Amino acid sequence: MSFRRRGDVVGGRGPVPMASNPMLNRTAAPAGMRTPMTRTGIIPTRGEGHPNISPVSLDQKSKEDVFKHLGLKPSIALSNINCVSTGTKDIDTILIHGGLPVNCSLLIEEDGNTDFSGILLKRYVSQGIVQNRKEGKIVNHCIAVGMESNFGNELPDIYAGNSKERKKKLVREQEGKMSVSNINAGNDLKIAWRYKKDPLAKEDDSISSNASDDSKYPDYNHDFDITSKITPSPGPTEISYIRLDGGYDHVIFEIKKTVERELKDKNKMIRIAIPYMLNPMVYGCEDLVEFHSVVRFLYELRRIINSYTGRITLMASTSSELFEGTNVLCSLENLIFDGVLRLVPFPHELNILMEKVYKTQREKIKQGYVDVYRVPILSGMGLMEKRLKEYSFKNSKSKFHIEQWSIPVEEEDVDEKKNSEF
Amino acid sequence: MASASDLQEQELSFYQGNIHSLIAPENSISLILHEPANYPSWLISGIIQQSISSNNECYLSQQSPAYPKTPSSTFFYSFSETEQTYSKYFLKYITQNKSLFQFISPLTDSTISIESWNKSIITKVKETKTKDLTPVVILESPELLLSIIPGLTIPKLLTQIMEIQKYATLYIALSTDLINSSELVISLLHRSSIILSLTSLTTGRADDISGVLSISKGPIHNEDINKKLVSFKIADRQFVYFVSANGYVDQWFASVSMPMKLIIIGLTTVYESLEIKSLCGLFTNGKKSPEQFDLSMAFIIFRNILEIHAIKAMVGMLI
Amino acid sequence: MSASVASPTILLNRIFSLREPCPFILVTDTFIQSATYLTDELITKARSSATDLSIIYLSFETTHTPSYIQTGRDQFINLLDKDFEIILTKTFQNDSSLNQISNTRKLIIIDSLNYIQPNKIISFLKLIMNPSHTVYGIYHQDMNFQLNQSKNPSPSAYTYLHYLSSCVFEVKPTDFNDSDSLYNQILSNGPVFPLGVKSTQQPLFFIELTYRRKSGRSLEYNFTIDSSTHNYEVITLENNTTDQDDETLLKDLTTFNLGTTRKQREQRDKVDLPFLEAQKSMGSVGSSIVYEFEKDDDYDEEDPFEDPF
Repeated sequence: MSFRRRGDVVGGRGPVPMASNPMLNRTAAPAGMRTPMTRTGIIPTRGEGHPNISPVSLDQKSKEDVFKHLGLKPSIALSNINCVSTGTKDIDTILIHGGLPVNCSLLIEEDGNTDFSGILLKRYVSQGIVQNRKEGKIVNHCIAVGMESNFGNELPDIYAGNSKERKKKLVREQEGKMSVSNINAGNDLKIAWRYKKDPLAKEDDSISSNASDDSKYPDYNHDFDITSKITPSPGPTEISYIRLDGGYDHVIFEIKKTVERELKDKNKMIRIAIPYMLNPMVYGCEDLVEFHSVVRFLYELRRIINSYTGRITLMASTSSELFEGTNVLCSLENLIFDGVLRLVPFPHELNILMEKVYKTQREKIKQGYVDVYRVPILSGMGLMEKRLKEYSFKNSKSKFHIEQWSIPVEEEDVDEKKNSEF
Repeated sequence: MASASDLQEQELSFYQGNIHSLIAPENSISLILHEPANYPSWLISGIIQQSISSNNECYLSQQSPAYPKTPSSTFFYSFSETEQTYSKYFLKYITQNKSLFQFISPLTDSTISIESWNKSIITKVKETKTKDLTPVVILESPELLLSIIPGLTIPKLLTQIMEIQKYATLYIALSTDLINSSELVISLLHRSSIILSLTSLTTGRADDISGVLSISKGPIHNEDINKKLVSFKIADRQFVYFVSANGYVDQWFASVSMPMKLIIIGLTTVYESLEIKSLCGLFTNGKKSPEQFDLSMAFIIFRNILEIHAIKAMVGMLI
Repeated sequence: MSASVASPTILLNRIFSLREPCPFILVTDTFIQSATYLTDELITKARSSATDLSIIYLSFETTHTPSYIQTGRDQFINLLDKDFEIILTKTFQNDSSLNQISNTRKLIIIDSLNYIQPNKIISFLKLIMNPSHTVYGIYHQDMNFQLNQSKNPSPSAYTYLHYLSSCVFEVKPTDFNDSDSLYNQILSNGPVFPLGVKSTQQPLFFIELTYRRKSGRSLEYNFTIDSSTHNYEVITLENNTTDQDDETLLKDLTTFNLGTTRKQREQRDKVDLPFLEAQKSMGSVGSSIVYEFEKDDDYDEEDPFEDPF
């Protein structure tokens, strides 16, 4: 039972009486529900001895028992599921599980022509690459569909902390005279040890609530500096680029081949990224965006993801503006992707209002809503997890912040000022 | 019209006065239509549990007495979900006669040829069908087939579905939001004897209510299909339900056409409250005309001190 | 035999018991209130009035033979996604070859006309229409899309059907007048959920009957049908018939009395228009030819139906 949710009482097997009305627990389920951090704890509020979950099928379980990976962490919400990080901590949080469950796919939609989702996808790939560098050997293989090698050259590197911290680190690094480029199997351990130390010490004081998780899964996720670049750029052993030239059949064939090849190594996981999916600049506006072929392609892709238990995840981004209200987007949202989020940049008026209201506290200015349409597995289980305009996001150099959205309230004087203006 | 005695009932039952509360008559189509945010997995699991049970066990109607029942073989074909989604339910509730149940998903089983999906079902169903026992087949998201199988048209898909219906009691779960498959939805609506729809509250997400389950009569009369004496009179009503991540489902009977007054002024100040939010959603969800949904002012005043079940009791008294 | 019926209820009963000459009855419905109850009503009535009636059920969406189909006498034919021309020709050829003039009336039920492509609908009807047949076809109004899409500007299948029918039943839920009702919502926006409690398939429902008399004049009546008690009730809707409109238009226009009294109107309705006899034996398709005999027209002695002045 290595994947029992931590914090469970081992003997707590007593079945919860069915008739128990969750509304009765209202007082027990505290107001803390309001912050996204504790919101993830939907189940823990029902404290009455969560029954242990026995293996789904022995075959599957034993495989999972054997499979260890530094990028894996058990889901917070479901006890028998493992997750990988999307590379963005707050996205992991709003997915309730604390990450993207394995064998699942996540779609990031974006309204308008901003490119926040592109950054999220890069973080997802970077997370995989960075784990390779930490481990000192290749444990993640990334597949970028429809992209060329320049995609890999633009992946963000780990946020090194503010300038002071960075200087310290630089000094230390130079002392060690070791750069990531010359790692080989021989000095794995050293590197791993070195890296492991640093984030531990740093993050302990930064995020208190996740501290225990972070110490247990130090390389599960990282902060990325979007202005930096991973050096050296990932090579063909770490990332494969699959071009769309041959049509979807060809893409599927290539992905299948890559997956088969890479997963022969029993320690590897695969991250498939489909940035700018259906973007006309990449996909054109003919065969590749035809409804049935898109669905067929993604369905085949899902079959591949699901054929290797616990080893593959997928993340895609697309413009919802282009496909709003079309069959394509409906099907993707409802039937193909396990998780669906949408980034909705604020309308201009709201931006202006926020500038005004938060003149003195500029850190409060947000850039848009994060709408949750579907949460992997939990939505499928029948939980209603569609949250529109409940979260807002703000992209900064090192973080992609997601917070509970609250409407900015104009203070009195601002109001008066406004009145006098007109 | 709902009576107060109905309100006490928290058992989920599709049919009135029928001991097998969720099991549809033989060779009928039961349509489960759900909104994208309200997946029916909890309901499907309950149907499976009762179908394979030999003593009428179903976690959605626990108070109903154990009753001997011939277990039916049950085949669940999901085109959109994997066993991962259902594992919680299966572990908890599919404990009896496990061997009678089969979950098949082309997503996880790469050996399945999607093109001949219906042939494989029919072979399995024919094997298990006996003179007095009709197997149960549940299809989830067959609309995907229209895209996945090249050249499959709606009439062709319907023919395939009809073929299965000849040998089985059929449940079909579909999403209502799909533009392209709305033709399929309507075609199936005209073939179904019961329509089960899962919808969100109009007010959006709430922490204590996942959605509303409505049970409506379909155009096909059960009497036509079933010549047995068991009553399949459809319990035309709505339930509110709540699903939590540990696989428990609670449902309450929701009376929707309530002669009560809803005072909006009182509400706006407390709108933030989730209890009120969900309750309002509940009342407006099955809306017919505004005057039918009047909510007493009292319950808004008392909302701070009353637990929601107390409000429910009040609602019961007011009817 | 006549088109003059005093009471709408009697007319309805005559149609149900197949005593009114109606070669093609078209029924439109929605999944909110389907024609199932109406069909049951018709079959019970028709069976009890004509015991030798044989029913041919052409199925596009029914999997299981309905209980009123009796083996030996009736037929159940599945046509979905099949070539109906071959099947139907075979069915009816056998039929006519066996007894040249079959005296047994046949009721042909089509559970859904929606599955026939608009360009095939005429040939479909041609195959099944016959003087001894009564065709009862259901068209789902909410399925008003073409399942096998082809963009052509020709009339829709429904337009053809409506044009060719001799009697149209529009099945509606009782609250159809309310523009917010589920019925109107699904007609304009497609299916909406939740459907609400007790809003589908109610035993008490509304029908709008358009009956086309041989003369081409059409009568419109509204009924509510309670299928549990088999009770029919005539309903008069407030804003209706053109007759009344005429009256109001003519009123106070001149000092002459241009209006018609109720008695006059009743009398007028009873008048058999000429040449009805001639039309009696005519095939089931198409409207009959009604013409005024004029002074210069040749008087044909051999024509027994000629009006002798």
